[in-house]
Amino acid sequence: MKPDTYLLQKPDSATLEAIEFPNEQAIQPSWIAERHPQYSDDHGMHHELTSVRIAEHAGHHIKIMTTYIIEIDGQQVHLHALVGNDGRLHCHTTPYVHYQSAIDLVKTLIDRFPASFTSPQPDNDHKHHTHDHINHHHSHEGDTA
Amino acid sequence: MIRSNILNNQTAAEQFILGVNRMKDPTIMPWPGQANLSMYDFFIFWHRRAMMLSTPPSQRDRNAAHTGPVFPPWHRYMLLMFEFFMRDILDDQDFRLPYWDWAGDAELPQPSTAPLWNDDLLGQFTGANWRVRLEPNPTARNPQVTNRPLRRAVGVAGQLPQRAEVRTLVRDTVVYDLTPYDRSVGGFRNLLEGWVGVGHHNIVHVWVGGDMTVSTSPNDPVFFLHHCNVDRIWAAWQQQHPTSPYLPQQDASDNLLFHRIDDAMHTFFEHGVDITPRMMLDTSAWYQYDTFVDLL
Repeated sequence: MKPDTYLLQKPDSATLEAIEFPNEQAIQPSWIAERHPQYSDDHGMHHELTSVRIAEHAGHHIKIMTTYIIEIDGQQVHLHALVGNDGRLHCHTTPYVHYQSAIDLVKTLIDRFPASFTSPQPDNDHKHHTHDHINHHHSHEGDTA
Repeated sequence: MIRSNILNNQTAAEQFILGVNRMKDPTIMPWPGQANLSMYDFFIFWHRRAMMLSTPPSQRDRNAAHTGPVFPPWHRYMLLMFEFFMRDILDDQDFRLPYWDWAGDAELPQPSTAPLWNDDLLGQFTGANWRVRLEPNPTARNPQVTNRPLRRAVGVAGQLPQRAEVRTLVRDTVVYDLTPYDRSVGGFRNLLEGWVGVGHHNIVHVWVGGDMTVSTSPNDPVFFLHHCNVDRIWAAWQQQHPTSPYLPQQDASDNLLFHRIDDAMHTFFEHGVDITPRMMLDTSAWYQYDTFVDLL
């Protein structure tokens, strides 16, 4: 197919109306779920991800699985700390850098997105509402970079 | 139609700024179905979503737009779509995106005070009028809605790649990509993306700082100028190495789905045909670059 036979004009943006946003669900194009259902649920954010590294060496099959369980202020958070095949840490939020340690990664995310890590404050009037506030997604303004 | 250096083409610069301001305005170019979000915001959302699709889901290195062979063709496609919307909103079918020659700025005594960052060019986007409406939440799948100014920290971290480093990349790297096609390998794609070597693409994101360092980096209009230059470097490499094929070819493992030459690339648009890396190899129907002299 020659390039002068496709992509010759602006695509129809009306097709984008089907995107259900904002919500808490994984949003991917419907054709991916239809053709490749195993790819449809990207990165469930309700569990931490396991990085699997595989290598072959001297006739042996090596498989290394790494899962970080991260707690902040005593509560588990799901930050998707990933280990690449080069052994370095990454996360999707800051995709252009790698980290020397998970501690460095968590410190950076707390500094960059403080509103995403607000801890529950003692409140005598709401003693029964002590659930995890860390993972709530509030719109906010004026975070420091 | 020619894509040119933004500092050498005042008309393209003025049109770029006018176009992104119009695309950013939900009353002028709304994202259909989304209150108070624009088509500009859609491109931010798309970039984030493509990044969140691990390819394949069993590993955490490659995704549908980064850290794998599809990085150059997917971004070429994204910029092409962005350019179509810009042409429409400018009512100028001859408009083509300009590029930021960051290796040129690297030669300046103080790159962070280069003309690009003056208020008549990209400097104006850190003012009150340009609003960031989508930003990442590290604990959530999708970007979250916000309303704040753009953040930059130009030149605080990282460094701009030098001209000689870019030339070395284009001249001396013969193979497009190497197995296992991830962030650990040599090859042109990974050197250009910046996981090995001097960090070309990645380190420029870091050097601009602020919103350019996170997954919603298209919030900063310089994203499109930067990636246009990354695309120019790929185009120069294609010219320099005409017998070096895109890799992987279609007979590669299914684990490389979304990255093989005839695989459909991640998109929310419906074109009536799959858009593949192969379709992105020849840009002559859409644009050419004004020069590769500085790259070869």
